[in-house]
Amino acid sequence: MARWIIDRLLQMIVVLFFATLLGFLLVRLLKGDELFALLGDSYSKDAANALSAQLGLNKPLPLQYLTWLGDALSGDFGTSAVTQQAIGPTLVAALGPTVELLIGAQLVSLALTMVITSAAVRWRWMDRIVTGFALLCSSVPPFVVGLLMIVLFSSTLHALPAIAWAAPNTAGWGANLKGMIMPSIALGISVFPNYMRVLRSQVNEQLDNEEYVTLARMKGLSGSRVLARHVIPNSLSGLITLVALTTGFLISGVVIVEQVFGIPGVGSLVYNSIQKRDATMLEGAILLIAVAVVVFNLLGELAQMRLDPRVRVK
Amino acid sequence: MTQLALPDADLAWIEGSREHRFRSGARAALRVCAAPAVAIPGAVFLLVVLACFLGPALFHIQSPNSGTITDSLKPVGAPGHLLGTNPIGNDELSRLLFGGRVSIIVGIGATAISLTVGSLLGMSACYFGGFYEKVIMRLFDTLLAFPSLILAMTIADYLGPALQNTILAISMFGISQFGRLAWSQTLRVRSRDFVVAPRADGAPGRRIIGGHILPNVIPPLLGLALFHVGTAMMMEAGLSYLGLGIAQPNPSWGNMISDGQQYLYNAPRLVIMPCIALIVTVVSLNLMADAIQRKQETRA
Repeated sequence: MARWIIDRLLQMIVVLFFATLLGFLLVRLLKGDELFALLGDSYSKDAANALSAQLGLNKPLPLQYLTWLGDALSGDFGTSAVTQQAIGPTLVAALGPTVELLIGAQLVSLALTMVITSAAVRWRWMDRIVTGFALLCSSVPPFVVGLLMIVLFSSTLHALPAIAWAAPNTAGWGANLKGMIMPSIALGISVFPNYMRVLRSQVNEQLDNEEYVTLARMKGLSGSRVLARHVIPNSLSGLITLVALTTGFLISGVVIVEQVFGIPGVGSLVYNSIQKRDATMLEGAILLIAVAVVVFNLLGELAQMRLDPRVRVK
Repeated sequence: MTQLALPDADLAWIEGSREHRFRSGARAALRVCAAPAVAIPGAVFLLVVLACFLGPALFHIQSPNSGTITDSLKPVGAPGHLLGTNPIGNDELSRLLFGGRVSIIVGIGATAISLTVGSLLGMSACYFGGFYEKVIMRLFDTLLAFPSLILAMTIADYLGPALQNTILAISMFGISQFGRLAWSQTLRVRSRDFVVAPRADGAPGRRIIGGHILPNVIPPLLGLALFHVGTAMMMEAGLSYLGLGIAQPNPSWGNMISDGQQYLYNAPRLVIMPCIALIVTVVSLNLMADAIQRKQETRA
């Protein structure tokens, strides 16, 4: 077990190294333009040279990367040359709204998954309808769901605000939560089909093959009780892993939904830094996201090992 | 093959069986396509494609940018504008059809690139093994761990908004997915006789991969590809919505949605119509892909 974790951690470091390297090279693509963006009208050859010396852009690439990596490892992500803000605190501030959105989306999709999967397993005739519904949900991008919901709930029914973000310390938690309803549903709907597919296949497998199901039935438990007390808890391990994987992936997947609802989270930060050619900020954000993806992957695998003894034996 | 000294009768038998195999394969494919679960969504998708590519020419629909500002925001059913006009007076139906062309071209183009690059890398990694395989597989891991939307956004932003750049940026998404599937499928057949025998015979790697491995791993790859076309279309809509995909004045469903967003309160149809077009197309594609995948599973 300990060996496995160490092995995993080493693999994580390799992947993170490559991801930051890729991010760094990618961001280099923007850097020439960064000088343009920074200097604006006062652009001249000399000014550009002076600025690039000041920002350290005239050093060889590998050196630049290692300097950045060293600083980042010691907790210093640098200062944005565009907005003059420190990168670290800006990232942390952007994380709040994104985390709230992710929690909301996960709650919506897990609730949908539980209800719909149980219905599909309990009543076989629902199965076809439910899988069709899941397919429909996975065929609509979350920002389209979000916009259609704005049309319905904001501009027609005037029930929910179209600009979702209300800072909890100024507008209060009530307004904040009310605003997060639509973005959470928009994102949750696009995620839940994957969850449902996994849970449904595991539940069906348990129902067909496991003796404890037969025993519970013989005890005289009703169908829904067998499901709720025995089968679903036993099928959760795969789902929990998937939830962890999806969380890591969603941190960057929320860019467009955050744009639709005007949420100042990590996604908006990434979008704005690409627009403003803010290379240093983008590097920091990519590192944050890559770390989140890798950590959540590890958490997912660990959770599976804890929950499912069969995986541990292997 | 030709090196073997076989009597003519045997050669004819081999040839015959090959032809038979081809015919039965074609017949099976036809049977899959004729099943209603495949045929109905397939027909819907075909209709969308035909409407987008032939519709403007057949029904003399005006160009998507020929409107004048005096025709601004005509309602649905206005004379000469079946679906009304947008804020600067361009015909909405025409923009929908021309925007659909873009979506379909990007979806199919990006998928084709991901499929080709990903499966070549995956198959060769599994076949050759060793250090090369390690490098390729870590590359796939990195691409998966890397926030792919950011990758696409940065590439699209760097290359500038144009059709071919959007295709390129989106194709980066699928490479590792196709690559991993190709790798695992190759692993399944790598030690089978039909790979080991030509290998022992000294056939070069690319011939074995192309002639012996590829035909056996292609069905699941194509199944994934069909799903991926829909995903790529959604991606294009997303990028264009952010202003990083297809640029104005050329229409695409994504930038039509983002344009319409300002008029959400006066003319929500400007957002709703491209949304519906996108949903209908992607749903029909995915239904078709899902049905085909079911058939593949039941046959296997």
